[in-house]
Amino acid sequence: MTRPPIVVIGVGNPMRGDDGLGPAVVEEMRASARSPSDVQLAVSDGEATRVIELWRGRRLAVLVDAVVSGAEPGTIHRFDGAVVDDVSSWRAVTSSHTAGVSEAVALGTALARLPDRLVVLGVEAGSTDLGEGLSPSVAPTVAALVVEILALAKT
Amino acid sequence: MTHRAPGGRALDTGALARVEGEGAMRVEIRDGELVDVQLNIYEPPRFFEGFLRGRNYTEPADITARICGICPVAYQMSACAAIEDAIGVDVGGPLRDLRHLLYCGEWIESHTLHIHLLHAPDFLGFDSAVEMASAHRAAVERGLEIKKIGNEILETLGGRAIHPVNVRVGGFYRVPTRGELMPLRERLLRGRELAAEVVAWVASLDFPDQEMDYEFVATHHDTEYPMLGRRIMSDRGLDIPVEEFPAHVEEYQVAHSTALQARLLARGEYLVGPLARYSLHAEKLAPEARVAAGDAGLGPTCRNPFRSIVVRAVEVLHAFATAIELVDGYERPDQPAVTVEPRAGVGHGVTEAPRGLLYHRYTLDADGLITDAVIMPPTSQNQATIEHDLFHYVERHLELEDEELRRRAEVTIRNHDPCISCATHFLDLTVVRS
Repeated sequence: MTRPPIVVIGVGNPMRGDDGLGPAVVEEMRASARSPSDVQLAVSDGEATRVIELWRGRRLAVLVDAVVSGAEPGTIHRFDGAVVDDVSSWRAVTSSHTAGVSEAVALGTALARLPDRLVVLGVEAGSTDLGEGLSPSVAPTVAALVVEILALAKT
Repeated sequence: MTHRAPGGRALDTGALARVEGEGAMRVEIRDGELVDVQLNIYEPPRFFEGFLRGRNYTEPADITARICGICPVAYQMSACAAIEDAIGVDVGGPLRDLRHLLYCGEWIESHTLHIHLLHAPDFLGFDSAVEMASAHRAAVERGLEIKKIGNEILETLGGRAIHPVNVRVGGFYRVPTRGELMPLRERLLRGRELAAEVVAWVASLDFPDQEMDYEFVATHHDTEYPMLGRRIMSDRGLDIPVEEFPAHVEEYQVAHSTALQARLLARGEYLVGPLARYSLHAEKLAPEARVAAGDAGLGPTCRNPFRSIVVRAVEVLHAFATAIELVDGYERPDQPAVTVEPRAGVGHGVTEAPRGLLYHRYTLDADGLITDAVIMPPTSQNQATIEHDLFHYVERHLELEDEELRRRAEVTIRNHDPCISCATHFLDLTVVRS
């Protein structure tokens, strides 16, 4: 069984406020049935080995995750052809439990298991308190990210 | 961070690396003598037992799975076992076999992660799995392939790889057809081959000589290597049904940890996990795992915590062999679950999480609502023993510079694959020399 050449990976925990951004974007793409047939949609807790398995061998992988960098909540960060240094400063928002996205990029680089092109879309989180639902400053980015991902998929 | 005062030193490690969760370590040396070691678990308590009260008997399998992203199946299995015990239902036959198969998937995934990404860098002289991956690419790739097969077991039976959604009290929501398990069989055969290679690989590592005087505690089953069991035994005469466990074990609080510690009454600290299971039950391993253990230099018991990486690899091979046997013998049951009607009662459940014995107890009222819950994760039970290991090792290596001492002390903790997030229901290192 051949895998679709493109994967969209929504990373996060929907039970921790804005950390649910990645899964919300994937959900929106599923619900609107606007995802082209060459695109696989996936939700992940961000554990490095599973993320590597998801993006391995793809032409394009788009990873969507909530970020804490000190910017205004709702700010979109873009890393195209991300190199380890770009994302190594990222800290998993809520998971202290497993290696996260920056480790996935580092390990993927060491093992030569990166996709041909990796785009990381990070949205600055407002609140990652317990509970479902995105904060008002982050929720509107979902629709914008879907549009951006669909445009990426056509390139 | 190292604090130096005239005549002594204190080493503080603020956040332990390559452990599951957040914890710290403190070593205090006064006048050249080791006076104290502490494993500090500072992750906040999570109150799972508290918020299980008032919940329905059908809910703990899904709620407690959330305690851990590495070993959710263990929580589901111990929760179901305890609830079924309270209500007086026995789940046997192919439904039990499917639970056993699902559990094999979790052992494969969890152990393989620890062997390759958390523990092996300690023996090969790397600070991280990423650095090790560049130098030992083939070994790490093999590890990832094995882990993926474990994943596939969870996806096939559990519906997804983390926090499986297909487990319920009484069995499953849906059970696979024989045909649906056949693609998995091919993957398991491949996994068994790779797992045998991993045993030989880890056996070639250099291990410090350290024999510890542990009391080993594990579950017991007459014919199976422990995973799902009903009795609990030790190598010093403990042999009890699970319902007597609370009468033999005492949980207590120490100021430096948010996780309760545990000891056997009138006996003291004990160890659960791979070393305990192997030392108590090695003769029940699958034949190929038993042979591989012998070839890897393991005797009938293993008291060297550094060699736990070999025991984990043997257990991965055992899990593959067991999984193949379970798939080959599988006949789809007529019903995906046995009916479990609510009833007042107290139930005890114990199964073997990858890190060791996991005990649950629930008290139900006549409507099936939970009035009391107790969960004892393996890392809580092992804390005192891990501190003992740390004391023993540091005491013999006080001549080392702080950095090297800190590094090696962390290894003694990683030997036991502590899952701090589970235990808080942990690691920083502080060495104080004064």
